[in-house]
Amino acid sequence: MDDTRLDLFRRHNPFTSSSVGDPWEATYPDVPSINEHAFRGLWQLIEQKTRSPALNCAGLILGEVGSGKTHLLGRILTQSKQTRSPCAFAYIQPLEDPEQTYRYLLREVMVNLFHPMESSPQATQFRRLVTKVFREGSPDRRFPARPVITTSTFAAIQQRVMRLLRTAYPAISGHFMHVLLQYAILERRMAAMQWLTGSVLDDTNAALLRVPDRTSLSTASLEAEARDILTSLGFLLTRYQQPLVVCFDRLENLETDEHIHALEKMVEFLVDKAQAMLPVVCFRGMQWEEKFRHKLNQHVSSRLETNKFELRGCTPAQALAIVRNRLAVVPGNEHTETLFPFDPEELLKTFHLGLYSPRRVITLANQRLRQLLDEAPLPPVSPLQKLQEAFASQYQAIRRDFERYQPDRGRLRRALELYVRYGPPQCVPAESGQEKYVDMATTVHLAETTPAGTAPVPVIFLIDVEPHHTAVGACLARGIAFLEEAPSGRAVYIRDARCSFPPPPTWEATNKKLQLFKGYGGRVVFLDDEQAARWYALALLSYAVREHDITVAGPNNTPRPITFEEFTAFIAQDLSTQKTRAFQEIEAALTTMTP
Amino acid sequence: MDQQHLPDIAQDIQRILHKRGKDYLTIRQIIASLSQCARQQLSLTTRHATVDMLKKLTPWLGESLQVYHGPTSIYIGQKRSPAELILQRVQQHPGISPKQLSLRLPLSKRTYITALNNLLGTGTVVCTFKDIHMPMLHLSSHAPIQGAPQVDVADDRLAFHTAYNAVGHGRSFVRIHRLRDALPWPRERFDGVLRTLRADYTVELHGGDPSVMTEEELHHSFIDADGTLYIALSWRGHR
Repeated sequence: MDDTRLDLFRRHNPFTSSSVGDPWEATYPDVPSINEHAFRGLWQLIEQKTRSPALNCAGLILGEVGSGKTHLLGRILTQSKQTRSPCAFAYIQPLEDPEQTYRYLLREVMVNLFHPMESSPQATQFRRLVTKVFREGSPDRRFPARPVITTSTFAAIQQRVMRLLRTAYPAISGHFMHVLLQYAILERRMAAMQWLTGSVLDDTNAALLRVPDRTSLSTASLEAEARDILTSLGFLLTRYQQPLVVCFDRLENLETDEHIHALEKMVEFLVDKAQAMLPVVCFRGMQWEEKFRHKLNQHVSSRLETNKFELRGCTPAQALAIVRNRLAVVPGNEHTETLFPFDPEELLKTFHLGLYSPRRVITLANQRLRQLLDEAPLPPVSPLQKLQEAFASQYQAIRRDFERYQPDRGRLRRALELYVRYGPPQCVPAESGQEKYVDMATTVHLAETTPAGTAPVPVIFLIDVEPHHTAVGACLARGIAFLEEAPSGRAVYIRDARCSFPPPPTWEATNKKLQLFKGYGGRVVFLDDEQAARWYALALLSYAVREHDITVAGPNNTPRPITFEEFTAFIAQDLSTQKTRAFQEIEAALTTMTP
Repeated sequence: MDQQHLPDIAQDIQRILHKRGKDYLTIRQIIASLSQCARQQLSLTTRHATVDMLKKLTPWLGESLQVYHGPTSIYIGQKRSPAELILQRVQQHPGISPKQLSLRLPLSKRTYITALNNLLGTGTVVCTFKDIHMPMLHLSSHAPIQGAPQVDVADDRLAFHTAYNAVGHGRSFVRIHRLRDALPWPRERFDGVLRTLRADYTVELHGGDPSVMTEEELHHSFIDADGTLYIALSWRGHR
């Protein structure tokens, strides 16, 4: 065999990855005939939704592990980018906090709309929408790509847009329109994005945008406002014929009935209340049939099943097409249409024994390629090693695209719980989420001996991503109250450092509370980008493990999913202070914390 | 060459056999009935020599089909042992003579005689004589019925599909251990039918989450030749 050509594959083996973690990062080309029925069906649904934005419908994708659910979502995104009348696209992973159902939906939708579509960070789905709004508001209906907006032109456009849209959609939120227009002004853009994602703005940004303070709003009011913004967004999408496809994936991670009910609420809202929004829900087939369809109310499950698409395994020809497509992405091999270095007949023999999932096809091709390259069979990769790689890869993906992973209290809580329960602390958390500010409560036996012996010490963790000083102050006050009640206890305040905590003289009272908290022995952990990315990576990795997306070679070299127990062993062994800079401050807080 | 829309040759052959109501056909008959697309894909016409046809077809046959070298022709058909083929014919034509039987089977003389002698030796098949000393073959009344259920493949498929519908209650992902419970077949028979259905793409097998299953449920699932565990299946083809 041609050794020079073989070297291409030694340098770049295109079969090493068989999992599409995220449709925004789809790397490998598509084989159109695979699950074409599902793609066409979904695309027709999108087209129908474009023509009739008020149509009450949803889509359901069923497929077992490795059948291409996430890949199919990526295909919709790609198709949308290539078509003349694109839809908007949002990819949403499981929510953690059912109390914030609509705020979570709003935040994730907006984060997706703010995500760069092309290489330029400016080209986002949201910008496309805003441009259309401004074009409509311009006197001559033209709006250049890089407009110069003066105060007077802005005011004129604002007035015209407000009048037009409020006439067409009387229920559209005035605040929403007001903030949306300010997105066009560079110095107000960040604040506008914050407001649109449902955040509580600090005083400066609230004043900049001239929007009401959200600090005093109750949870119910914040949820209602999130619905209001989503509904208003739906009006705009209707007007500009850009339906939003909201894709819910990795739903095996919905652990409790509350989480499932939260999904139900989101789907119901998107189907019945918001215009121009099409929820598409992905489940593993058996899980859907045996568990989830009975837990959702019939209204929702029947809506989903009306447009149900089951993914199917590949025929031999499709399996070959996957192999050919992957070979063609190897640098230097782009223009070859053959299956070199494979023997086509031999590959066919392998693939024609049944309908194989795309993931299985890639795994088999990888095994065969390694034989052809005279590479020793892959040394058995231990589950630990595989998880280390997956964790590192997830961390890198988050760092590359940090804006998409907004400060998320629920995900930070998930990571903390995993670490505290299965990592070196080995503590059993009490029920979490029972108190407004306390994310987790547990007890530890400190290593330090005291005259009283090693009595268990109560510990609370307060995770805070609020940008407004009032909410931050209240959270700290809860920590102070705990330490006053239990002087020997431990309180740890954790904050994603992207949520700023300005020093005095700004936030004077809040800074005083922080000092008081520290004075009582409270430990403060500001997660820098590196640490925060690792926390989010751990939470997302747990979703992937539950989804069976991470596999190792099992008996007879066939892939088997990593078990949750193996995942917990990874946490215990690899997330200690010595190995990963992520939780060392938590570990320190639980072992050597002193007032 | 665009191979994205290639037909499944094995499935096409199964279709031909099913349509003709035969378990095997000569290679020329198969080629003549293959879909045009499949013939184009294999670059075959009926003008090719049988040996060439055979060479091109063999890699596509899968687990359920095999090549038979008969005394005068080469055949392709459902995978059967010589003994199964003999038992099937004798059951369908009680009293058939050994010579007539040999003419109706896609077996070489040597293979046929060896298999028939074995069946006579074990008493599975008995031989009596007509007035004119013509020998007649029958299945023994004590013959083990091992071959009988496998003989009618169509019945097995029907039974499997019926069980799939009954167990699944309209679901698309049906657990294999439940199907096995519903079909009181020996393990080999169940696995054989399942392999056949999989090989002609009538069913698709799925992995799943073994961690939530009992030992017994896992044991009653299906493990294929390379050791992959399958937990559920979906019916994809026609009955």
